[in-house]
Amino acid sequence: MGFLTQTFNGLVGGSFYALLALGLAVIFGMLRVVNFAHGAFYMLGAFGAYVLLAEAGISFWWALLAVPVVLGLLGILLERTLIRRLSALDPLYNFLLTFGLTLMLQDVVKSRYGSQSNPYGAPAGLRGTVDLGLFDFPAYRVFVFGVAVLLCVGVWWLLTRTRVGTVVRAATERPELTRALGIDVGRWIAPVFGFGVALAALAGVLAAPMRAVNPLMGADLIIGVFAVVVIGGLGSVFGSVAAGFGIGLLQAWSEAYGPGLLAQTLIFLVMALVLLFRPAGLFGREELPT
Amino acid sequence: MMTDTAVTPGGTSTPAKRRWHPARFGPLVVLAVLIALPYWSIEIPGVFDTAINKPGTLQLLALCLVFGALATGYDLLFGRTGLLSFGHALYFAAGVYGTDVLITKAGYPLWQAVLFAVVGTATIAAALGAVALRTNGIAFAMVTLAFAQVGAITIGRDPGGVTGGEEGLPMDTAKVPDALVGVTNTVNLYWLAVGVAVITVLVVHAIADAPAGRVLAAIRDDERRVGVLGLDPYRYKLFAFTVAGGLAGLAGAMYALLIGGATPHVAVSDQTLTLLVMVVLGGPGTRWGPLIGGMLFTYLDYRLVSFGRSDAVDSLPGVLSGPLSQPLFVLGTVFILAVYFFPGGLAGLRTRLGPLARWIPDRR
Repeated sequence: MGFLTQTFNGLVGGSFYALLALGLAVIFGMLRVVNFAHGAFYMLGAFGAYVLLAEAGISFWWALLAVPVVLGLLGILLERTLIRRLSALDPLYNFLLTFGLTLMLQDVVKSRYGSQSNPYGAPAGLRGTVDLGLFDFPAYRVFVFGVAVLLCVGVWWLLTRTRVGTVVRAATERPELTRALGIDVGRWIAPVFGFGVALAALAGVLAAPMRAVNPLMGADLIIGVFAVVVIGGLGSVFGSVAAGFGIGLLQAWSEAYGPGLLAQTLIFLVMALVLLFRPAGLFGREELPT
Repeated sequence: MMTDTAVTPGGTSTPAKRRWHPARFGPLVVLAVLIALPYWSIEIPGVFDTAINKPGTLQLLALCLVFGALATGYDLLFGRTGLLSFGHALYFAAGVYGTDVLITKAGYPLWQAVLFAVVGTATIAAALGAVALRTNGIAFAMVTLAFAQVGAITIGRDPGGVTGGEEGLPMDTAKVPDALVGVTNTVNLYWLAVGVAVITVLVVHAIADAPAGRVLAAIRDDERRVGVLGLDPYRYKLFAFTVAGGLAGLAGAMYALLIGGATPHVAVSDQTLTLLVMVVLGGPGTRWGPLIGGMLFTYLDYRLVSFGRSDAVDSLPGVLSGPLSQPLFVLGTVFILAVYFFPGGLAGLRTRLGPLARWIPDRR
């Protein structure tokens, strides 16, 4: 395969990293919680699409709309019932809590649908290839990349150009001061968490036609996403997205031109290197307020 | 803590004679009982399937001791220094595979293999810790997790045919002393496991009682203040990380002997989670909590497998019996309950009241 094809493959793979890392970063910024269950929600998103199609005949397009909304609401519920209770404690508690949740969600899905991979076809309109001028590329992958870029730009716009985004950014950087200005920070916590979860679910739906739908698909991915977030700088939205696409590219190139073990471990090697020279990540601030 | 002067009810203080106190001799009595256990043939129905000195039960007890030791070593990081490492499975796996590979593939005699495996594991821990400890808190957890993932992937991919990949690597028993091979010699393995647990406990307690241990506790409570005092927290943390890694390697070597080889599941992140559950259940940062937690958890885990297949679970409606027969579901549930109800000792947290006592929703 040509270099350009590999590059585009990398961008598509990076789209998933970027979407998941974006959700993690938004949640971390607002709640100071690293949501370990992020991978589980990605998996639930893919399963949501699969189950809707297999058991109710609902198409990909409706799933793309409905699954993130439903899982986002579930995320809000989760924040209200479980995560909020631990918010007064060390953030490590919520890390542990969401890890426990991950195991439960995985096993619930496994006990219902087994651990084999389930097929999910690409939606009717996106089955062929598109001519991108220099090479042909599967239409569905182009679509995934487009959606990811749109979403990243959309979130950026939301955060920088709207009042909601301003409040969220202010609450992320100076929670006490924001509260002192009379803004009810607590109100935005659950919606932001739900939004991050919805992003993960959307990435899951997008992944369903491309990747094997199985209960462990999130667990396999999330550790890599953590590395991406650390590389980009924990809490840095821009860093997460940039690192997501960058890692996707590096991975695709090393898969094509390097030994197999390198491609699988590259992301962690890059992380170790980045930490050696910039402990706060490429775009992170040196001292995070705790 | 025992004080050196005891106050009598009359109010006069008497010079401290070393009074008998269960807390002082209890551990030695328990150790004596553990050592003597194989000489008794009592049956405890419902607790163990066979008499206590039969190989099956001794094997289970030895396994409990190995994980008790592993949890004790892990607590040096988690409970005593406040470092949440999510990749401790890597060092355990390094001990398991190091011992196994050195014996089976390189033909070293057992004692050398164990020595090299433990030293090698501590070296790996020192190198990776040096990188990971540049981060703090959750980032540290994520970085250690990532390193462990590299280990798990490498073991699974079987580079150069060394690790046996997904199949695992059975140990070549020809290189192992005869006294440690075969079902009839399980008792010797059991005693060896007691020895590993004793060594681990002695090392961890010695560090905890030494000045270095006080610095570690201070780092757990307030790292910045330790820095202000002119001590370098990084060095102390790296020391704890290296020792904990070496101890995990030792437990791993014992595990490899006990199981008779290595399987890739020892490297996966679930292994670290079970460690966390053990420590959190037992009480992080406490003297005997992690050991007891590790032993109890291993025992319960063994029982849980039979619980999942039991009629009691099968007769439940499908909604319940499905998940309950999945060990990780049960593990996750136990874990969440533990986080909510036994949060004692986590980094920087000195109260044992728990989140339920401070049920105040908007304390952000």
